[in-house]
Amino acid sequence: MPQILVVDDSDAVRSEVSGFLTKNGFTVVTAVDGKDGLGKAKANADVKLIFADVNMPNMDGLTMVEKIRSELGNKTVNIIMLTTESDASMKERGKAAGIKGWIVKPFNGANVLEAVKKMVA
Amino acid sequence: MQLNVLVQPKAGENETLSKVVVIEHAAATLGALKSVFEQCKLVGYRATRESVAAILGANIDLGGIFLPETDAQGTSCVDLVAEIHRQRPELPIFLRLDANHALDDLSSEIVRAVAGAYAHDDFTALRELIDTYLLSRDYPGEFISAMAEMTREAMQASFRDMQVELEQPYIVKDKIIYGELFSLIPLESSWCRGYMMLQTEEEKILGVIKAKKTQINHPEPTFRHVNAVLGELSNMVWGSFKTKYGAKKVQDGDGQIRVEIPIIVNHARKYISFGSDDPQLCFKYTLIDPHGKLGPISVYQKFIFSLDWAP
Repeated sequence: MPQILVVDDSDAVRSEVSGFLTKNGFTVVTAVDGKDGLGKAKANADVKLIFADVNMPNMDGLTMVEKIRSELGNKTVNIIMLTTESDASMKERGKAAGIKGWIVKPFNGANVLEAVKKMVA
Repeated sequence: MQLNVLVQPKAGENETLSKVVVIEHAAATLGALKSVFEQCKLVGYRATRESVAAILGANIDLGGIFLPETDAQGTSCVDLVAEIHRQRPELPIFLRLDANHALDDLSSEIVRAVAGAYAHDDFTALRELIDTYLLSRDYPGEFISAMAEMTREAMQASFRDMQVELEQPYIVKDKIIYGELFSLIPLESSWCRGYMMLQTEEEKILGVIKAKKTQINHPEPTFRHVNAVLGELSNMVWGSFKTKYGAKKVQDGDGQIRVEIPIIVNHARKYISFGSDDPQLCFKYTLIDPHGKLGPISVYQKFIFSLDWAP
């Protein structure tokens, strides 16, 4: 069963996103920062989609994405950034690391669900 | 508490007011103050010697206080000046001098306590004092409008099925915290650097969480969930600010993102969070009087490198 990993230092965001996805039938795992997210992505081969914040303690979201790509070499995991950031250079950096989307908070549930359905077959 | 309003100036949507307290008995002075307050957009609340303590206690977001050197009964108000200054040292006191008196006629304690004094009929001098000690920072209307809009959107996203009402923005000199919970996050752009604080009451936010009107979905939410809601609200406003006004430096030279995470303080619970659960390095210093006259004093130093740590 494919899993979705939600990586955000905010308890509120993890609660909302995972609750929304679970209600729509998905299996969700959460992580509290980039370091935790990297560990869970490495430990869990069933993770097929990652939602990641940028501004997190210990390891930021873009560094986490880059490490997932370099340490796991795993292009089958789709990654969407879910963040308050809109900076163009950050988006470029994310694109270079192979992310599939960039959603600025607050997010629209319907758009998120549509993106999820396309990426978690 | 019902306040006796001397004057309520009209302000445009993106203009600021300031709330001030006025103890004044002379009709001519009151008339002149009303005119100055209209020009300066000051909302004047009338007080008496007997009511001023209660008014100050009930209003922690004031811009200043105006009082005369001598009251209607001929009693000196300098003791009141000293008492107000002790209670609220940040609040500028504007003292109207008696005829033929100068500030130098008063004690050095009072001279230090007041922001300034003006001759009983010199309202030009009063206007200059207000400009210097209360209205010394101009907040552009465009900035006020933008921040209000960003925050309103973030609040509507954070608190579902709740109306967000916004009062006229106002200027404050007090340094008193509202409620028992606040978040603090630095704001930076090419033209400003400072902080944003959101202050609120824990129980009321907890009530909204329990009513399932936030992102939190927990059977028994606690104050930590309140922290999470306030932290994410702060994060959203910060993100909008950064998008509109641009960060001074998005990434360091080595490509590291300059992460910002709100600090959350609940002073009623003596709780502070820097956003991570990493162990903190702590030093305890004790100051000791070798002569034995003063008791030991503890100073705790803590290092919390929640944003970056790669020694």
